[in-house]
This record gives sequence, structure tokens and C-alpha cells, in this order.
Amino acid sequence: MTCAEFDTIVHDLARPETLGKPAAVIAKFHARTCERCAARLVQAQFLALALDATAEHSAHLETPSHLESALVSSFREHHRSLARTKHRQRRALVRRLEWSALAAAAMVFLAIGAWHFSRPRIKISKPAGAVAFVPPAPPASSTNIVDGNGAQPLAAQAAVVDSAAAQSDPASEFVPVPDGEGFSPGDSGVIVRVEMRRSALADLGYSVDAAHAADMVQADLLVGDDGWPRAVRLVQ
Amino acid sequence: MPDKAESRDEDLLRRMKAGDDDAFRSFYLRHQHPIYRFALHMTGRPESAEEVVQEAFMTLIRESAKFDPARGTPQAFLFGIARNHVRRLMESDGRFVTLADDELQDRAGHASLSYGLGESLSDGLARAEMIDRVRRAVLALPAHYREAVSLCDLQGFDYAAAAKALDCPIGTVRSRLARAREMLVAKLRPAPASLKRPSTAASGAR
Repeated sequence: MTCAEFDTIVHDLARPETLGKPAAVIAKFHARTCERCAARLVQAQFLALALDATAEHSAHLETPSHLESALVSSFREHHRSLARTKHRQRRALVRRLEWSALAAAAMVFLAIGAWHFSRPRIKISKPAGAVAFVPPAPPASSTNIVDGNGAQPLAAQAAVVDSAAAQSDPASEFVPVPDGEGFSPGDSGVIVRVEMRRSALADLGYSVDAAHAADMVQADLLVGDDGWPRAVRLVQ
Repeated sequence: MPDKAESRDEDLLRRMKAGDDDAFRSFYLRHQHPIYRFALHMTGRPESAEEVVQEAFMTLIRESAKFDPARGTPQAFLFGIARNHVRRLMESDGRFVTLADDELQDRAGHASLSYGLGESLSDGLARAEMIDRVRRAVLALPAHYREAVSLCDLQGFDYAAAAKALDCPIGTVRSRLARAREMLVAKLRPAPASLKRPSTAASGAR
């Protein structure tokens, strides 16, 4: 063993438990033959003993007992506050959900109300007069709808013109749709002005002159709540 | 693979996260002693060591959720916190001024420590003085050397346990310890006037 090799293990040599026996024997043999390394070994042994004495002296040192109780209290308080925070967060979440549900319900309610009050509607009643109602007439005469000139039958291919204008310039009274469900005073509905071919009237059950089936004509449709036309009148 | 103590620690930490204060108390009792002694050897002041223990465990209370068993043992986690607090203390108020070698040399003259260990250690006063000198010499070491000495030489950790606690390889602990011991030998070497030849040890070595 060289002195350099001895230097690398001298402190382990001073602590018998950290160096294997064969290495220790070789190192001690070297120390017997080398004055420098013997002195190094003594220094290392001294240091080991001094450190052991210091360790032994401080081995009984403990933290004061008040520290333990203070830390346990802090631990409890920390977890109590954590629980409180979680509880608060849960309640806040529930409150937010409640408010969201209320807001959504209010929005739906408002939307329904707005839709309900904004749609055009009329109350059909005989004395009101704005929309004249012709009670179901004998099919032969009343279903023969003619325009203001009294000549031509009506035709199909309708286009909505203006529902608000549907109450002006009527050329005829409302004539119930022959194939429809009919209506009576007090029923509600919507008047829709359309432009269509006369032939479309035939689809509703009216008799139409085939020669003028392709002519366009303006008509007011009285449409019931279910969306089906109940009566038709021609517009001049 | 975690050993029994580590499994126990992990179990205690799990229970602590659920708010079990008995688990906290058990964990504290298992670890306060090494942490306190580590902090004491690192700072040299009992009140600072208490502060480090308190801060380390308070940090553990607040941040135990950060513990990841894959990254180290609970003890290493705690030592990591303690080391950070020690460093902060040392940086913040600079109260742990390392002692100059001159001062150690002056004290060596009074202690008249010789290499004849039997006589000096049997004397209570000399022993107390020697312990005082060792503490001062340890405090004069750079922090990373002091950590190795504190754990291995003053608390009896083996290299593997110290490496876990310090979160570094075993080889690093070995080399730091070797260097630290050389520095301590130099710091504790008696002044030339008081140096006696180590007759007993030398004769034993020959």
C-alpha cells in the first residue's frame, strides 16, 4: 500500500466498522512501517474519538416539549381551516348553481313570454267586424271563390306578403276552406296575406276555372293555431 | 423498494393528509430528534435549531401534499425542508459566522489537547473543551461539508442514509466526508507548542 492509498482510507481505518478487515490489516501494516502514515492514523483516530464524544454529548438533546404541543395545535388548526375552506367552497358552488338555475329559468320564462306576446294574433268574433266571418255556407256556392272582377278562379304557388296588411282591401268575405276543420266565433288565428296561383285554391277544396289556373292572385289566409288554413278571402 | 421505516413514514404521511393528529405526533416524535441535532450542528445555536425544527414541521403541515414517494423518502423530504430553512437562516441574518482558523489555534493553546487520547478524554474539563472545539470546528466548515459530518459523524447515519437525507449520491457523501474530516483534522491540530508526540498510538501503530 502506498501513502496516497493510505490517505484515502485513513479515516475509515479510524472507524473499525466502516472498513473491511483485510483492508484494515494491510493499512495498519503500512502505518507500522511509515512514520508519516502512523501520525495520520493517530490524527484520524483522535478526530473519530472527538467526534464520537461530541455526538454522545449531543445525543440526549431534544426539542423542548412545548414545541411538540405547539406544532400539534398548528396541525389541528391547519386542518380545521382546510375543512372550513372546503365547506365554504362547496357552499359557494351550490349557491352559484342555484343562481344559475334561477337565471336559466328566468331566461326561459322571459323568452316564452316575449314569443307569446310578440306574435300577431286576432280574436275572431262576429261583431268585431275587422275580419268578417262567413259561416259555413252551402258548398256549391261559397266554395266557388272568384276575385274582385268576379271572373277568374284562383291558382297555387303562394308567397307570404304581409300579415299586417292582411286586413286591408278585402275583395270578398272569408270563405271557409271546404276540406278544413272550419271555425267558429271566438277561435283565435292569424291572417296571412299571400300571393299564389289560383290552382292552389283547388288544393284546398275550392273549385277553380282551369283556364285561369296559372294566374297569380293575392289572398288572405285565416290560419288557425294548429297552422292549418281555415278560410280564405281574396284581396283586390 | 422502501424499507419498513419508510413504509411506516409514508403511512403516517397519508394519515396526516387526512387530518389525523396522532399520525402527526408519531411522525414528529420519529423525526424531531435527528432534525433538531442536524440543525443544532449546522447552526450551533439551540434557539436557531428549535426554529428550524418548527419551520420544517410547519412547512410539512402546509405542504405535505407535495411529498412524492417516487422522489425520495419522507425523512429526506423533511431533511430537504430543514436544510432550506438552515440555509435561509444563514443567508438572512448571517448570525452563523464561521470561526476563523486563528481563533481555533488560540483555543488550541488553552485546551492543550494531545494525541494521548486516554488522558485528555478522561479529564472532564478537557473533554468539555474538546467538544466545544469540535463544535466550533464543525461550524467553521462549509455548509455542504458540515451536513455530511453532522449526519454521518455526529448522528451515526450510514453513507446510504445520509445520501438519501441529503438527496445526493453516496459517492458525493463519501467525498464530502473525507474532505470535511481532513479539514477538521487541520482545524483541531494542536498548536506546535502544545503538541505532544502520540507515544501510545504511535507505538500501537508500529
